[in-house]
Amino acid sequence: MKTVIRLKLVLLALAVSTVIGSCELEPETYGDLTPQNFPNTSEDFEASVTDIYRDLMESWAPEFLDNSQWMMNSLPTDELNTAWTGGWQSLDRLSWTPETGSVEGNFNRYVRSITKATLLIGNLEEASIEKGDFENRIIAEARTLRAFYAFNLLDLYGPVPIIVDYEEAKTISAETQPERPTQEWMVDFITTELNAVIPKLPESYESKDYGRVTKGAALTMLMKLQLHQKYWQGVLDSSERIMGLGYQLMPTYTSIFDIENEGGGNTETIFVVPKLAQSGGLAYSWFAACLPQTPEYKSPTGIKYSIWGGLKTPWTFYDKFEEGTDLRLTRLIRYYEDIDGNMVDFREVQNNKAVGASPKKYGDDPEHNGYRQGNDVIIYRYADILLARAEAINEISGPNAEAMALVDQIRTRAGVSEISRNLTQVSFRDFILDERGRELWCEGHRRQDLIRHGKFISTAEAEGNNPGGDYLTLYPIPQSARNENPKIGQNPGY
Amino acid sequence: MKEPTLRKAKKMKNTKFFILLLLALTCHAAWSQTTVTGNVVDINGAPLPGANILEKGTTNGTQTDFDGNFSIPVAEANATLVVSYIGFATQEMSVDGQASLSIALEEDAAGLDEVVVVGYGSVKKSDLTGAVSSVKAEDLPEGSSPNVQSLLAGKVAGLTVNQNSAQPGGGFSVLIRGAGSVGAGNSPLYVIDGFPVSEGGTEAGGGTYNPGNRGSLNSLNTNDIESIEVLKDASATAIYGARAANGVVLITTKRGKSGELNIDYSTSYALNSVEKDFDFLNARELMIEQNKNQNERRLFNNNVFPYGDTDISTLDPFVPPFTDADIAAAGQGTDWFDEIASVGSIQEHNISMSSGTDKSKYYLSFNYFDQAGIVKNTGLERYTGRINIDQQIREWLDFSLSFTVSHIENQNSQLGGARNAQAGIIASSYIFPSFLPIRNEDGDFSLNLNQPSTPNPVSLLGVDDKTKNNRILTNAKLEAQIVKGLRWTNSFGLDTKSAKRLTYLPRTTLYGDLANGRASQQENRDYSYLFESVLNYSKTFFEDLDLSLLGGFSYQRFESEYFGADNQDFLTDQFLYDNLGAGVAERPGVESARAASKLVSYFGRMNLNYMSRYLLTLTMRADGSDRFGANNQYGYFPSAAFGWKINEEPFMASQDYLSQLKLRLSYGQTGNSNINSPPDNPNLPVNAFALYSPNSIYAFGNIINNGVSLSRLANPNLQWETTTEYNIGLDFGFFNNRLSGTLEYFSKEVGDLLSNTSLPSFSPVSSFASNIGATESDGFEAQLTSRNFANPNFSWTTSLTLGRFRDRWKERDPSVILEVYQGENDRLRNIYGFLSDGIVQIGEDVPQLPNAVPGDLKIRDVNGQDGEGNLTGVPDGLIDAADRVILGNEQPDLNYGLDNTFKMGNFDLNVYLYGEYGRDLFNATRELFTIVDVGNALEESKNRWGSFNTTGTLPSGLTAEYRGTSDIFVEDASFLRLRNITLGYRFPEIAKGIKSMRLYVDFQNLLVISDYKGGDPETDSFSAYPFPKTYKIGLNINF
Repeated sequence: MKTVIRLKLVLLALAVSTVIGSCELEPETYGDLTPQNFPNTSEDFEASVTDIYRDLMESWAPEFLDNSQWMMNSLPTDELNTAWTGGWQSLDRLSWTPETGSVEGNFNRYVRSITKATLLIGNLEEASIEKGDFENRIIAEARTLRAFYAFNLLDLYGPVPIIVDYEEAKTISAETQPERPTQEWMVDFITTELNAVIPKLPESYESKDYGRVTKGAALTMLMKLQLHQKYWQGVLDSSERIMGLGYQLMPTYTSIFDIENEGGGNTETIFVVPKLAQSGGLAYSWFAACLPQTPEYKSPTGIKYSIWGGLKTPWTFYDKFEEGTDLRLTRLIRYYEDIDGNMVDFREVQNNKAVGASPKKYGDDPEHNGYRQGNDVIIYRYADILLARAEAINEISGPNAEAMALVDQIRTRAGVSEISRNLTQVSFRDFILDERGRELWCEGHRRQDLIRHGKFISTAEAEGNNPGGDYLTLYPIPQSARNENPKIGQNPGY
Repeated sequence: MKEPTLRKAKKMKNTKFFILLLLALTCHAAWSQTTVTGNVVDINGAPLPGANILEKGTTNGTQTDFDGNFSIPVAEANATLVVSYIGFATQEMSVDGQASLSIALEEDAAGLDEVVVVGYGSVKKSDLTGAVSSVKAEDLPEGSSPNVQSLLAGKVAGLTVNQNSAQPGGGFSVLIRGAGSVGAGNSPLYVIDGFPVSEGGTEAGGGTYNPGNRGSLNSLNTNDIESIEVLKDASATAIYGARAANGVVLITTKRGKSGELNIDYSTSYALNSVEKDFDFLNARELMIEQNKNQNERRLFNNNVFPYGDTDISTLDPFVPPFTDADIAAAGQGTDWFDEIASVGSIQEHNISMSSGTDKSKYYLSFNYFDQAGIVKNTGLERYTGRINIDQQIREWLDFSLSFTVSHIENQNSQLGGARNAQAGIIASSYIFPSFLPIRNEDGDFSLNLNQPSTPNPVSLLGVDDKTKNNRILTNAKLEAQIVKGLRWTNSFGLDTKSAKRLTYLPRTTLYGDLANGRASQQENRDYSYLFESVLNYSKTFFEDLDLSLLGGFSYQRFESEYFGADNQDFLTDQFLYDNLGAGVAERPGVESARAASKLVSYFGRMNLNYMSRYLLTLTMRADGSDRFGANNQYGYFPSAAFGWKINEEPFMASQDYLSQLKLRLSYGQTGNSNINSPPDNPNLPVNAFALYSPNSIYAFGNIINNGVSLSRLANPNLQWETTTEYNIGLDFGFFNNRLSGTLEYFSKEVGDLLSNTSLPSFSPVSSFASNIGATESDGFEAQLTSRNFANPNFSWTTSLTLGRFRDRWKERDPSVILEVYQGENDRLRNIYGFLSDGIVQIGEDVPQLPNAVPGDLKIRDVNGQDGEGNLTGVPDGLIDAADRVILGNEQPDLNYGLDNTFKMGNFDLNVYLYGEYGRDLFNATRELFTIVDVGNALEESKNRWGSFNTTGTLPSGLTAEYRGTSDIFVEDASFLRLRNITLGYRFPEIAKGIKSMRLYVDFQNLLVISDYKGGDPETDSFSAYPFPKTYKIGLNINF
């Protein structure tokens, strides 16, 4: 009997020790990619570039616009105001601080994305993948986006440290504390990079790749940098090169923004963020933010729109247009039909939301879903090139015939009269600023334009805000960035 | 040479024992029997029903009936009976040929010989060396939740239980000795019958509306619980190593006992009611206030007096949103809360039976619990069953099985706390203005045109939202006696949980309408496999040195799977979520995920007991986890404890007032392995390895493209968060334990905090999981029980628990720059903010607030900072971060519970209170609803400042400056809750076959005393499901 017991116990012990012996601590991963299996192929690298584009969307035209660069460019100016509180108000009233969400969010996203691009470029260059057109294009796209993000940082915050060296990018730690570069270094870096990639980028893509950076997009970035730097000769050269690429103004103002013209059919758009209504992460909510809420705007497509009604274009800005003549007011809405079928004159409606016209701008999306719409958001288009070229000519040679003709192209399309030929250099300069406002309203250019013309602060004062001084032409360096790197000095005035 | 001899000796012993046993069995069968009857009472003569009677040396046993009577056949006239009863000292009595016995049991010295369950074993309470609180089933109050956690508030010193939202089956936050971890969670480990269960897995998916958190123990039938042991100090918990840092709760279920069949049936029915917590304006008042606000905003926007010097005559005349006729016609309006609330009810039926012989014992139960919540269409229906079996296979081999199965159908409430689109039903019932009707004239649900994205609360009642939970928890044990004193236990178990959420948003809801009906099904499945092998050895040396040793191995693997699908654009609302394919959405959603992790552990314990006076316990556990990198897969968690039973010393023998005195000292380390997800990527599986995620989508060519980003960096050095704890405890009893209690003081440090190191903004990911910093906590606990009266016809027992802890920072992450107002060693969960000094008045110049307008909060300039970011202590004429101060702390200074039980004749009365003292909360409800805008507003909003009310003491709300960051809405949230009043009556024997019967009524939550304004101080947000009052009647019958 005893032997039997022992035998059974020995068997049990054996079984148990087998179980114990087989208990390993090998980690299990499912449904994710690890450094062991990613990135290996050219397609893997393409997917990594997609992530860099994603950062552009998150900054420029995210699903909800609160902290977008678009709002940073529009809200502090005379083209937009808001009734919403919090971060919206800080942008609208120029009362931002180093802790303001948009100030911090866009800074972090752009500096991070620049490092991601640097790593991607270096990794792909080092990878044992044969470099053909496809691979070279991926590298060129990443370099273009990196340069564009650097430009956005320069525009918003002034020169800030960025990681563009592969070795440095690989060894970032909490101790990495780069100093602020000079303005010259930053301008030079962006210019050099763009010049390097322009020859490598295609002029256009097949439709499945629509939205990637093209030669025209990179050239426009370069031109906008030159405009920002008031390097007028550069603007002339770059605009000429862009004009050689076959862009054309669309026949009507509204057709630029109509969803049916999206893609290769739109001869005017140069660089867009493609958007889709069906997917939360890819849609955005401009209509919900800007359409009239009370009385509620009636959607022309029959799809019910969610309307929050917080963003409006002040009537003072509206009055810069010739009402009744200027076709560009078609979608800067004063009169509309409400959901009960009544015609509304919004200027006569008292409400406690933002006061002004409704800057609808884009055409209705038949896929519109709730607050989600899928109109591609235009970053750069051809009209901007023509107006910038006119401005550069005026700065170099005064208001000559070429410059006037460029502006008239825009005005004729808008259905308004050609400009007076009696303008001086100064009055033409002012006219161009206004015309840019009328043409490019709510497209994210106004802040740059007003600052370039030295009118950013005075416009804000005229709006009843109480800015403290010229220092507000740059946003502050976020507190978080200064906490992690005390070597980044704050912009003067903050 | 020695070995064989020993073996031989043992062999002989074993054989002898075997023969004896055989003899006993044969004799039992063959010899004639006599029957002994008797009566068991306490020393006061009160009968003790259900006392156990066992013929000594046999397995022949019975129980007393309702009147304490028993009858037992015994083998011989001089047999000895062993009489035992919970809470009383076991007595042996020789029959001595008497046919009838009267046995009076003496109350046990506060249950000193009670056995207390500890990790991987049990120990006599008097031999405990660690800080362990034990709650027996009969001490738990009546509840109104399927969840046992709800019964523990105030019952155990050092245990904090809060319910943040009281929906049927709602979850609880349970803390043992504070919340010293900042990122790795502070929930204790729950062990049910030896199986460490993981929380979570009770809810699947997200969706537009949030069903609130769900109790992790809802599937456990509270009636099955025999006892709950709360392991508090490191000596008690370290045997659970890496998961024990937040304490361990051991739940032991009832098992069969040998004896005759025992059937318990209990049923109860309860009504729940709730009163609206907040006083909102009625329709008429709200219209008036909105008119005022509209005009005030017009003045403000146009810089008219008092907000500027624009001439009011330049403005268009004011057109109020509500005309005088509107106002005159308006009355009370809609009470939205009333529209969604109703009287709730709970009914519960529980039947359990147990029986056993010396070889086979069983306990079976079935429970049905059905709750209709106080918000319409919410509820919970639960079925549970349990089978606990103990079977002796051989004399040396025992098998036991614990098997429980449960099914829960939750009717979810829509509990989103957001203000607009995601506003849930409670939130929207507060937000919706009282002047709106439920439905418009056309029959559609009304919407607030000024907040058109906020759903109509009544429309949300049409949402069909269910979660079905299934759980099977089963654990089998095989226990072998290898030689005398050496036992080997192998157990294998499986805990499988599933949660399936089914949601349909019909067209009558805002979101359903936008999507043309939206349906989804989401399912989580969690599996936890456990294998354990434990060796136990105990032996007595030199007569008075007891040694027991334990060594074990454990392997636990966790796996979870998720699957979800959704569709929209349905032909009709009729399909609900039952025909997803019928939707014609362009891109129906489909998603799935899977994750797994493992824990491999080795553990041991040594107990030494010398002369029953000096006790020593040493434990050690090594835990290995595959979540950690190669350098730190294993963590080691030792502990030591010493106990000294002073009252057993000879020098104490002469006194008689002190019946118990024991000093305990312990030290140990425990761990926490809940690695954080990065804050910007909360859905990542938690481990220490690098990961790329394919989530960066972009729409090139209006086609969705997957982009891949690095979402986590590896940290091969990541290791366990380690808690080092010291504990000193004193157990005492006076006057034969009429007054008894326990005092504990602890001090612990939580080091290597599992956290995320922030990386510079320009690194590819924002942070990586790492061990940084330390917190420390200390606190004390007191548990006192006094038997004030102990007469046969009147007894009164009072129990008091007190607990206090303080968590504070000890060492901060060096890469995090503290805000200037934060101290290096501040308490955790401080509320920081500005001090206010009333309202800015017309014409008042507030130098530190140059942009302030009348009606703004006047913020005090109390401090300044120098260029280095140090406080100067001197006001600097500026309001900035330096002016923030500590306004309060969310953790209480003291938790307490007070329990009084009275017994008078057949009546029993229990009054149970608990509370928290010295705790502050930011009252977000008042912050939101003392503003008058376009939604609802509190009565209190009339006290806001405006040109129409220049004596108002609340800010105007025209600007939001400092509203949320100042002291005005930080309130003292101390409270005292009258948790239970229970009155019971025990019927004298009413019918043959019924051993006992008790009828009771129970009132819960009748009263909460607190200075907190509006809302229950225990819930922390305005969107929380309110605490109901409960009126319950119940019946327990024992057959």
